[in-house]
Amino acid sequence: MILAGGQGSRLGVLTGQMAKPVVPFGSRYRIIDFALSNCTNSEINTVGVLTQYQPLALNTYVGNGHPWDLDLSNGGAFILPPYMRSGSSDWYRNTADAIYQNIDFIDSFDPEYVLVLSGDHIYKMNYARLLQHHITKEADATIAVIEVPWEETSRFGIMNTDDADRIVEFEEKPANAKSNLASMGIYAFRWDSLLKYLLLDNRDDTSSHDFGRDVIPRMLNEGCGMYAYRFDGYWKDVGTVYSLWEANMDILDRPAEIGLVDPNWRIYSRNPVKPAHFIAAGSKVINSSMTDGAEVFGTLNHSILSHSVRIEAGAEVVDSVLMPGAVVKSGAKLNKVIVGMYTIVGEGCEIGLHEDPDDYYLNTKLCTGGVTVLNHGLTIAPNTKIAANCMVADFRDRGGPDNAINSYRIWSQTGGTPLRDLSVYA
Amino acid sequence: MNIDATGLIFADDSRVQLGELTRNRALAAVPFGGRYRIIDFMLSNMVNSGMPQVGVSTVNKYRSLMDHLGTGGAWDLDHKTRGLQLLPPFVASDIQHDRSASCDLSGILFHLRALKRKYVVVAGSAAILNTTFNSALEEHIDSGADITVFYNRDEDSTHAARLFLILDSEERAKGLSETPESGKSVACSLDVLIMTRELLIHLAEELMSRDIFSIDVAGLLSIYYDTYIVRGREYTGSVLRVDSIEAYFNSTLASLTDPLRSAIYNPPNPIFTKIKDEAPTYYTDTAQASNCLVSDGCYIEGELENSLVFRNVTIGVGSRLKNCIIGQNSIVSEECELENVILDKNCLVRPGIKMKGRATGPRVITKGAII
Repeated sequence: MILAGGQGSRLGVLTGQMAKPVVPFGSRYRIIDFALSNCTNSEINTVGVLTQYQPLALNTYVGNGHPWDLDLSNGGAFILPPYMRSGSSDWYRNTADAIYQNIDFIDSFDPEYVLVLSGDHIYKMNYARLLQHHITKEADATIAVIEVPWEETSRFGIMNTDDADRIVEFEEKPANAKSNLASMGIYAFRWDSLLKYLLLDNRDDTSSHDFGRDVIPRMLNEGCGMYAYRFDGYWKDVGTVYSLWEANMDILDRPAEIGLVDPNWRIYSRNPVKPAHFIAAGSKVINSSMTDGAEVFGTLNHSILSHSVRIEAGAEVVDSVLMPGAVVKSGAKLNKVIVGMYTIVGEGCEIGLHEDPDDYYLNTKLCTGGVTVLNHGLTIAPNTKIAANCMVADFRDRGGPDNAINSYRIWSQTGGTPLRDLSVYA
Repeated sequence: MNIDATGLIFADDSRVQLGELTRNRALAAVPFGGRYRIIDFMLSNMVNSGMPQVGVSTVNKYRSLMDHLGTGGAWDLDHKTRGLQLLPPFVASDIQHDRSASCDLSGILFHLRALKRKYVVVAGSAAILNTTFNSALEEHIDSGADITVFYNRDEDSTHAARLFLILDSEERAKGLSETPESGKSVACSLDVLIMTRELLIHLAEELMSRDIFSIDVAGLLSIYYDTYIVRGREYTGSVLRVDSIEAYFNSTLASLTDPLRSAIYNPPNPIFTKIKDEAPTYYTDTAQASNCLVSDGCYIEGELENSLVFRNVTIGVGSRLKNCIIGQNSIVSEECELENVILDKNCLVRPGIKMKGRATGPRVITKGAII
């Protein structure tokens, strides 16, 4: 069961029209490709994808699960949105409630074990090993944990374990942690145990119906067998602008750890059907990654290009992440910018090259470390200068400047060209 | 977009040999354009025209073709009713099977009889073009011709075996020739025919009654051009001929540069191919590339100029490649210098190797070679 309904509000405008798991990542992927591909590679072939917030892009992307070999007659991928019932109808109130509302779905497969996964992490994990660990320990629940630096323990849910890796205490974001084993939000349950605690949790009016905050502590309090499964590979929660940028840069800087080229553990994705990428004469491309349909006529250094991105002659792109269909016009300069899908950066623009505490778009709450974000579907007027740590959207309706115009409100989800320019009706 | 026609592709061509490239595979299965096989272009043309059934007729070297096409899922041809049909030769002791020649008629006949659509588009595999057949079919019906044949007027005529049409002022074929009249703009067949399915069934039956069990597009034309009304239809879009090693090499290098690059690889309708799920390609700080098409999954440390690189290729540091075609999974180690070279799949070039072919005659390295 992949939890993919979260809004991802810390990514700001990037998740304004799409759920976080379907945000483009790493040149040719969407974030959820990692969880889905891990399932396929772990030979888990019945996968429920729980969607709620802005589901259109996510539902279209996952579809029948074909790119992940999950289009099966027996099992496969299932999109599970909240739905109307004869009595009451509810949105998914939280992670545990989302699973609670799909008890019938899970029961229809009569499983012995259920994995609850998060759709917004970048990592490669063999869930079969997690499950084997769970079975060997005869656990009610097994929680994947990763060692985090001690100074960061206050940002995570921390598991305190005994010598046999049995979890004895769970602390959510502790000020003084006793352990540095952080929960990765990846759980294996015995289905009958989970079922019992989902029913108990649902009856509890004081519960917030969250796995980490409510279900796991309750199981621990009532003496369930709870074990930690130690994971020591690459794992990143790309919940913030900076971590999303950093994980993209890790593809260039830590390729062996993130391991995209491993032929035994492919990360599958929906293919955009584009030709091989093109590097023109007179261009310069170093320390960068790109995929089908990209075209480079300018200079590219330490950047990630998705499909159908075009860097025109004379443009300079450094330390940036360009999502599908982004265009950088001639003479424009980008430094540490995440450019949204189908956004056009006009001629001679300078984005992220300088600091300016008075920039209208400055958003130091969401944009840190000098990373600037341009929303999907924007057209940035030529020669616009935008400072570092900005989050740029079409803010004209709030009295913002008119140098960033949202031209494409609708575009083809499977990656083609924008379908319709709604700005003509504005 | 629906069309009252079905597709039939001849994967082999008895006149065309691409040396090492076709030693173990059908012409249609020869890799092209970085992530495609030659057949992807015609197959996509047919799918993009709305044909739900395409037959692919092949002679003997079809393992590679089968591997590539699979169930036809990549072209959305994995239907419950026929969809993509591979038509290998039917070999039986009581049928005198002509092994030397082209495609087997009994399989084609069986396939055509099982279909329902009225027309059939028949295509060879020696020319690459992006088009849809919807307006051509309408034109064919209006013209009253029995058979429409696509042609273009190529300026260059290399020594490859090509079929030239001698047309009257009404575009009706009055004769055929294998050598063009010099200095004249000549109509060169693209090996794409439109006719009714009924007519093709009739022709196949008649050929078999004459003990001819194999045929290709050029063969059909040469036998029947004066029995039926064969009308030429000039195709004015971009065409890449791949009917000789030289043509394959020249076509590939020409396709790197616009406007041909956009016309061939980025047409309004997509070109579908088998998906490999490679990682994105990575360029290190020593990489250089100029006028190159590079596919996914590559690791580029060296210098590339005017070259085409297939999927999952490694180019080592200090290596310099010019006018090269590098096949899938190949590795060019450090400090190599290659010019006018075609490396087939799975090749390994050891450090420091220098190889140079001629622009008019590239060096072709066979699949899996270690140099």
